[in-house]
Amino acid sequence: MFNEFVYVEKDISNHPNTLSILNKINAKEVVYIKHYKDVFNQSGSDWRRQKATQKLILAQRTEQYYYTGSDVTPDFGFRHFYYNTLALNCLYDCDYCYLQGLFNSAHMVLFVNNETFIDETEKLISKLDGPVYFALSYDTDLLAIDQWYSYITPWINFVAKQNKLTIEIRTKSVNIKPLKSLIPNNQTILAWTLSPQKIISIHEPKTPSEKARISAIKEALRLGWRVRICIDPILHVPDFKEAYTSMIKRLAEEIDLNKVDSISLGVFRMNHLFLKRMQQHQSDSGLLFYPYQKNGDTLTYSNSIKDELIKHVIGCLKQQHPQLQIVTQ
Amino acid sequence: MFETINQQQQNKIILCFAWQAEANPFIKISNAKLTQQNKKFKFYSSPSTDIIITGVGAFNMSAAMGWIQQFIKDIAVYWNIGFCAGQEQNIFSWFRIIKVSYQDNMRDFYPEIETKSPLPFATLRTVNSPVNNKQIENLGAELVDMEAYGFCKGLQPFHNSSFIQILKWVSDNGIENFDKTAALKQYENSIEQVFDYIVSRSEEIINSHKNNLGIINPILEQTKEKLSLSFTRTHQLKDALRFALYYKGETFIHKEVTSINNDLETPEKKVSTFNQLIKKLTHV
Repeated sequence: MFNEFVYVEKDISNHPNTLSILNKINAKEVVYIKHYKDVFNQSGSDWRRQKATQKLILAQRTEQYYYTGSDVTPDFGFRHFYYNTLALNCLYDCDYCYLQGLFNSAHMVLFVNNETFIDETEKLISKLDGPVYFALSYDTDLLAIDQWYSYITPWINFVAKQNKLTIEIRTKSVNIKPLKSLIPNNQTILAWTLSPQKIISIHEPKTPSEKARISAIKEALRLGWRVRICIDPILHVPDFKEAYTSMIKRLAEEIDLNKVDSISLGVFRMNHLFLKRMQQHQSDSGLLFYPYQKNGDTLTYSNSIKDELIKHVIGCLKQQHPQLQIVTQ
Repeated sequence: MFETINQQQQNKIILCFAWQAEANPFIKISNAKLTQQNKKFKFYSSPSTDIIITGVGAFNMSAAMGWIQQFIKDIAVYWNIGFCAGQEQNIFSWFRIIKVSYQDNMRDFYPEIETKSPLPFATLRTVNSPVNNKQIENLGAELVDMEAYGFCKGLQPFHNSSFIQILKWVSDNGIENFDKTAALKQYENSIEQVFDYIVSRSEEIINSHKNNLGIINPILEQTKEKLSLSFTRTHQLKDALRFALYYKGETFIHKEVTSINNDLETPEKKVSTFNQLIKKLTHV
C-alpha cells in the first residue's frame, strides 16, 4: 500500500518524520507539491476512484491544531470537549463513513508535525479551567497507520504527564503492537468501534473482523488499558436483531465486561449534505438510500426505529451484564 | 462527481493531439474518419474512439476541449497524447503524467492514476514557446510540452480528474536540430502497444464508475408512468429501489413493481399504491 508514489509538500521534504515515513513505505516515486490542498482539494476530484487507488500525502499543519467537538459526537460529560485532525482520511472504506461527504479527496494526508499539535494542545489546556477531553482520531484511524507514523506514542507519553487531560483514540484496528511497549495510564481511553461480522462484511470493507477486534480489545484490557466499546453506528439493516444479539453474546463470552470503561451506543446519523455527496460518489451501498428523517441538518432513523435499535442493543448488553455503564448518543 | 455511468451506457476514448503527424498513426489504428472540421480543429470518429487535432499550444488545446463537448454524447476518457521534450536518457520513451504545472502562480493539475503502471510516471511543465536544452533543466519538471495544461484546464469544468489523462512521448531533449523524421518513425513503431494500454486503462476507469442505475432506470420509468409520479416522488422511489436492490436483490424489486395494478383509476389510489410500494421496498 502507498508504495508506488507519495505526494510530499516541498517545505517538509527534509523533515525527519517525512524521511522516516518515506523510508518505511519504501516509496518509489515522490511527487513534490506546494501545499497538500493542491492535490486534496483539486476541483473535480474523483472520490471513489481515489479510494480505489488511495495515495499518501505528507504535509504539515500550520493552523487549526484542534477543534471544539461537534453536536453529533458524544462529549462523555466533559465541558471542554475537543478533537484534532492529525491525519485526514482513513485506510478503511466503511459505507457509512462521513469522511466521504466531508472531503473532496480520498487520498490520505499525514501531518508530520505531530509535535506542534502536542505543543498547541498543551498551551490550550493551560488556559482552560477543569478537565479536558480530546478525541485524537475522528478523521482517521491512528492505530491502523501506526506502522508508518506513530502519532499515538508521543500523545500517550504526553498525556501521562497531564493531570486534567483525557484523550480518546478511536479505532477499528487490531494493531495493538505499539500499545505493548507503552505504560498504560488512566487518561488514555482506547475506544474500539465494534460491529457484527455480518455488517463488517457488507458495510466495513478492509476493516478487521469482529473476532479480531474482540481479541484486540481483550489484549488491550489484559495489558491494563482503559477501553471503551463503541457500538456506533447501529444500522437498521435486514436481520439486525440477530446480528447484534449474537455479536454481544460473543463479546460477553470473550471479555469480562466489568473491566470495560463504558459502552457507547449510537445509531446511524449523518449531515444531510454529506449524505448527498456520498450518493454522488456513485456508491451502490443500500445504506445511502434508506428513507432517513431529517432532524435539523442531520439525517437519521425515525424516532421509533432509533428506539427499537437502541433498546434492542441495550437489552442484549444488560442481559449479559446488568451493571454496565452505557452511554447513548 | 460529474459522470453518472450506468451499466447500459457506451464507453468511448477521446484522443487529443496538437499535430496531425502525432494523430495519424492513431487515426489509422482506430479506423477513425473525419466527421467535423472548422478553421482550427479537426475531429475524427470511430465507434470506440474519437480523435481531435487542436493545433499547437495550450490555448488551442483548451479551446478545443470546450468545442468538442458538443459532439461527445457517450462517457469518455480523454487522453492528451503527443511529443514532449525531456532528458537525453528518456528520448523515445512513453510516460504517464502525474503532475502538470504551468506558470508558477497557477495551480498544478494532478490526474488520478492507478497505483501501478507499466509505463513510468513523470511530471510535466507546459510552456508557451519552444524551450532549449538548458531551459528544460530549470523548469522544475521532468518533461516539457506546450499543450497539456490547457488540456487539463479545458476539461476540468466538465469532467472529473479520472477522465483526464496524459501520455507523453519524449521526442527530443530541446536541441534545435533533432532528426524529426527519425523521431516520427520511432513514434509510429511504438503506437500499437500504447494504444492497447490506452484502451485497457480507459475501460478500467469507466468500469470503476459504473453503478446499478442501469438496472434501476427502466423499472423507475415504468413505475413513474403507472403511478403518475411527481419529480420528488420519482426521486424517493429511485432511492427506495436502490436500497431494495442492494439488500433484497433484483428479483424482489421486479416482483414488487410488476405486482402494481396497471389500471389505477384515481389519484388517491395511485398515492396509496406508491406509499405501500415504498414501505415494502424499504422494509427491514
